[in-house]
Amino acid sequence: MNPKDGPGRSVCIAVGSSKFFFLAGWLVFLSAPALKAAETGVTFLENYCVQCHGTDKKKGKISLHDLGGDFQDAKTADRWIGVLEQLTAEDMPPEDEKKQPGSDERRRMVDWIEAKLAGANQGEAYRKKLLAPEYGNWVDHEKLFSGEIKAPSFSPSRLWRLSPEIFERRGFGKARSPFTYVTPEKGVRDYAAMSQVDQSTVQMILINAEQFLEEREKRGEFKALEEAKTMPSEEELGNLITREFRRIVGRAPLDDEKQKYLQFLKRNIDLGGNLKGFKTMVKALFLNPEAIYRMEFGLGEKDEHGRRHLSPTEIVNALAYALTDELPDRNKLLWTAYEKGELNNREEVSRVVRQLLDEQLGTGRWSQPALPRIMRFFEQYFGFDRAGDVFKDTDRRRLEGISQWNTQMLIHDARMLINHILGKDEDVITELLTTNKYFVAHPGDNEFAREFYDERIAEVTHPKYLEWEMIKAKEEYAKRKKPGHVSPEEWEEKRLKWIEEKKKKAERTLKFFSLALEEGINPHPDFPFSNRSRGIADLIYITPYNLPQSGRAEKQKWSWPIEQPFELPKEQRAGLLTHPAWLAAWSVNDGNDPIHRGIWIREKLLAGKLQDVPPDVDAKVPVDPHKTLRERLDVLREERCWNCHHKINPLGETFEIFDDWGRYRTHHYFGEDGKIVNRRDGRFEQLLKEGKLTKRAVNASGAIRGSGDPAVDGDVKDAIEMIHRLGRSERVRQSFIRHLFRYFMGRNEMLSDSRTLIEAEQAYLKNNGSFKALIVSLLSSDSFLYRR
Amino acid sequence: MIQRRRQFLKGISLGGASLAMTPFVRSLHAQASGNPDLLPKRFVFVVKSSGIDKFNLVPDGLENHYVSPTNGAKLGNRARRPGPLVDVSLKNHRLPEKLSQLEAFKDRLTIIQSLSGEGFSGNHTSGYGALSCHNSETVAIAPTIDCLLGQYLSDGPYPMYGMSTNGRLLEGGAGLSESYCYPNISAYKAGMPVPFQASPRKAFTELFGASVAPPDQLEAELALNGSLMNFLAEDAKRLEKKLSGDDRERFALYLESFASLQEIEKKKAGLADQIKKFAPTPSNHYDSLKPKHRIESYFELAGSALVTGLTNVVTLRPDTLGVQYTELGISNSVHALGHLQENKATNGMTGHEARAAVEKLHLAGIAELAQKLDGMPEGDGTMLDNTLIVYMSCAGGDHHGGQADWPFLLLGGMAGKLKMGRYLEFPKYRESGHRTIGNLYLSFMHAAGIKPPETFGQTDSNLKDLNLAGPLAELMA
Repeated sequence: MNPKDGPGRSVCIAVGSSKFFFLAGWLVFLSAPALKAAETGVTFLENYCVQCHGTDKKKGKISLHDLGGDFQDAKTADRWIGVLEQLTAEDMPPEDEKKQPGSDERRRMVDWIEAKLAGANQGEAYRKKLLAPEYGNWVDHEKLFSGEIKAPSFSPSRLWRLSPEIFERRGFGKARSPFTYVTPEKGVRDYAAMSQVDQSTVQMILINAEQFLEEREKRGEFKALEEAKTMPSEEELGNLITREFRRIVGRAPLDDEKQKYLQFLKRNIDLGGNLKGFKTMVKALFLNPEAIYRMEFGLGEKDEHGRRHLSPTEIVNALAYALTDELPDRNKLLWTAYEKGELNNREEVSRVVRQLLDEQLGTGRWSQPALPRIMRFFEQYFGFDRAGDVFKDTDRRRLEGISQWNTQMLIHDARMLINHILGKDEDVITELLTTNKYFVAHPGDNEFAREFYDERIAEVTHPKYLEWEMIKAKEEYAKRKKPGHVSPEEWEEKRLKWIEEKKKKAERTLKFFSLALEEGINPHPDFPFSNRSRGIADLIYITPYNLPQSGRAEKQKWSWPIEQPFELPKEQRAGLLTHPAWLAAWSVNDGNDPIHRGIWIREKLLAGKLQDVPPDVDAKVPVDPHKTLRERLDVLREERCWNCHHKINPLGETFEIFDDWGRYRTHHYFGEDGKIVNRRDGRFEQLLKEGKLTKRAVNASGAIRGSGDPAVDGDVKDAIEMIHRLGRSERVRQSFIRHLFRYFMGRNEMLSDSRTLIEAEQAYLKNNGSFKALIVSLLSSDSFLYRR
Repeated sequence: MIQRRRQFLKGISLGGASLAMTPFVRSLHAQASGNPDLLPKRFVFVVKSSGIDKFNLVPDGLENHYVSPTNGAKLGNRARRPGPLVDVSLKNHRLPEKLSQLEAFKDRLTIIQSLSGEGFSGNHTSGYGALSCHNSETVAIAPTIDCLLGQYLSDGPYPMYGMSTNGRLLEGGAGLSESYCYPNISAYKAGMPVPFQASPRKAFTELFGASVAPPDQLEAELALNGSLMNFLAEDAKRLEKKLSGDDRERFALYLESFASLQEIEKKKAGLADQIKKFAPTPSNHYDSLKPKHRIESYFELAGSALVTGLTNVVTLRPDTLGVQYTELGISNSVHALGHLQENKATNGMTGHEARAAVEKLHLAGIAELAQKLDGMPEGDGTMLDNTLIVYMSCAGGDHHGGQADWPFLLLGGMAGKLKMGRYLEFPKYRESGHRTIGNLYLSFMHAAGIKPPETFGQTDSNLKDLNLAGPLAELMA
């Protein structure tokens, strides 16, 4: 217990109304001009809407001429929410309409509707909807970064159910996490307001508790308790409670908690005996709210704005779960700071977070980094780690020249690239988006790569290599145990076969290493799985980079760079969005997915707002083997679709310079029947040679429009040009920061988070684009440290 | 005779009017009314690992599209020879040797071949995808058909009950687990997988414990459970008072779960008489580590759970890839058998023969269960007429991937809603008339009386030119 927490305070004390303060956060900034505009809310409709949605015209079967201002009426309020959504997403009035409201006028109208809804206690469902991560961008971007909002930042006081990742690190034997995410797979997952515990979760927790007890019982842990003829003494029972409480809840019980559990335990022992009574208490601990929820109520001091500071205990927990999946005492640096009483205020928290990042970011095993939540942010933000989730037909792979579709390796390469950029920590957002320096089949650590490579070359080229390999093979086989059903003769036969295979393999390695070295090519050294490296066997999977693949049983065609990252052609690759892992993750079964790529750019890079897909939309792209995907998507340029798709397609279609395996391409090929030819196998080469194919240049042109940053708006030739323009945009930087904010705070921004966001951006800029500075700023911000 | 039974049942149900509407009583009401639609419907899914071989599922006298026409060799995955829909009665055809144990039930057996589930991929298994029609091997992202049916059909304490030899698919050793596990088969909804009980002994205790426990022990268990739930509810309420707004709303779900868990216990208590009456006699097979014993135990427990009304849907996982059927003289794992092909297993059988022997072992359990249910009168027929046993694999192909020709065996009935006694073989993947496993599950929903959606799960983009909506017309009566 940290002395600053005050005597007898547990972290499970809550006061205040989070709902009230959420509304306050929503409305507190409605300034005088906005309220003045209230009188003209209906006038706005008359000026900009009823011409198309009135008595004469009812475009989209919607009329607004009779929409009065009675917000108490639920139906009227619902219709106003419809108007609100259109205005917030900036979909209405349509782009080609001459008469447009100014952005201030639009914003005032939005404020007015929101104030009216809140005043009439309407729009509860709409308000709840906006808590979900998909609607994070619905908070006005310009306002957030304008500096006009002076209100102090805070997070609502809250319960936040533990994440599946935290549960898995708790070490409950074979227990499976009873907690799962309900947020969409594509984006930030762990949202406090979207996490819940229902009956099935409780049932799973009880099953976990029973299994955990059973495993321990089998090990004889409870033998003494079971065999004792009488109830153990209060002291013994108290010790049991403390031990189990620590193990399951993650901290020692406070005195009153210990007493409460003691009474409960004694009652249960009376009912069912020592062992059963004890087991029932352990089940209760598993279901203790604190073993399920993180509690952030603000147990520190209250300030003049009515905000309460997190107590040091709350801070140490919040920091541990922001950066790791472990209890705070598992991180020595963090825990020491807590025990020394150095987590009381912003300055102290900044110092500790900075030290944590400096000392621990990029450390740990490749499979288990010291600060795992950092890479997870990039995975959830970019979504590249979902590359393997998109099913690709085996027949297609064969026909289209993909010898091995190893999405795990592509994801690994992307992670190495991110680690490298974070290690340099300069101009991070731009680098992530624009670099053409990649990692391919590399452990990420150049020192280790060089060391391993040199050793491997020395080993394989040594005159005694084959001899050593044979000795190794024999020794390895000798360690195997002969199964009972195999006869000694069969065993010997198997042994000889094994050794023969090992011999062939060694000869093959020697042959291909020698061939490569003779030609001045660096042979890939075949990294094993170890603490320092993921296992990387060969270069068979590298086709998506437009690099020549080779397996272990063939001549290597590409000189594998020992020092990485290395440059790929800059007209072909620009950062993570042109990485095969990202391109694969944002593709579909049989091709590219320009729609979701466009949505990704609009939402994740431009903090843009897209409305929900109308329920009657038939989302089928017409099939026509004579047309390219881009041509087939032309149907979306019809007015009804284009109203939303103009925000999406011109961004997503720029990636047509890649196929859905991530390969760069300049042309589409067509057969003599005019049908598009996707195959890239030997037959393709033959057809090409025979002049039976015609080709057309890929049309990957597109445009950035309505980005919110006039400096980047305009036509683009392809994704590369688009990304380079976006990579240095202020809007993109701010959008990235907003998403990082959501990840660490576990919620969408409120307008009152404006200061936090502006300070984070300033910290990033002042420190030459340092990601660490950005994290330090966010994790020591008022939004992180205060509750209300 | 039937009429007499109905009158007799009418008497019982009127006499027992004070009883709550337990599944058993509901069944009696339905029987008394004479309306088969009101009779309880049940499903048993038997989901083996490593695929079901297709080539030895074709009845005598029909062209086998799963072997080479020239040398009779088994064709690989996705290799059904082209040909139109085959829809014939089994009446005039002898069942293939592998299914000979089901000969007595031929009129209530339907063999279905070449439905596809492409896109539900995975490593040797489609995992949840096999029953949810989603590409989700290890993470539940949608409800599975067994859970959907269970939630609709079951009045008892368990919407569905699962038993599985193990949670992991590719584990080493004998491959039998001894407690709850997650075989990645069933899920109530996204992120909510169903734990399966691996130990028959524990399943017995959980389902039928009331039949053997001394009354004082039962009382103590109930008291402890009550004590736990009360303590938790009290403790949680203290915290609840301090919350407000959205947090309080979300916290209520946690709080309410204690009451609903007690409700399950109450439902079980309401079935105490039934449990005593129909509980199986626990045998030492319940603790055996022999796969055969375990499978037999699962089937026995499943039958009793259904008869008792503890649940209306049971899903069984008779093996995983690590299981070794030593009682068949085989020390190769199920995984190893999948790779043998014409090579010999340790008992001298070829890989194909050994795989068939394993399937026969499962089918013996199915035949036993069918017999048990057929011996229980219900309505104008037997319980089997209202129970559908579905034998399938979590892998659509033979051992490895390839979900283009997913075989299913259906045994029993759904109150006459499904056409039984048929051999149905759908046209090859991508060809006109081809259908998917989603269509089969829609048929189950139709037959069970659930208003089904137009399509089930993720649809296959390769089949966008085919009709993927609705149930299998050929299966619906």
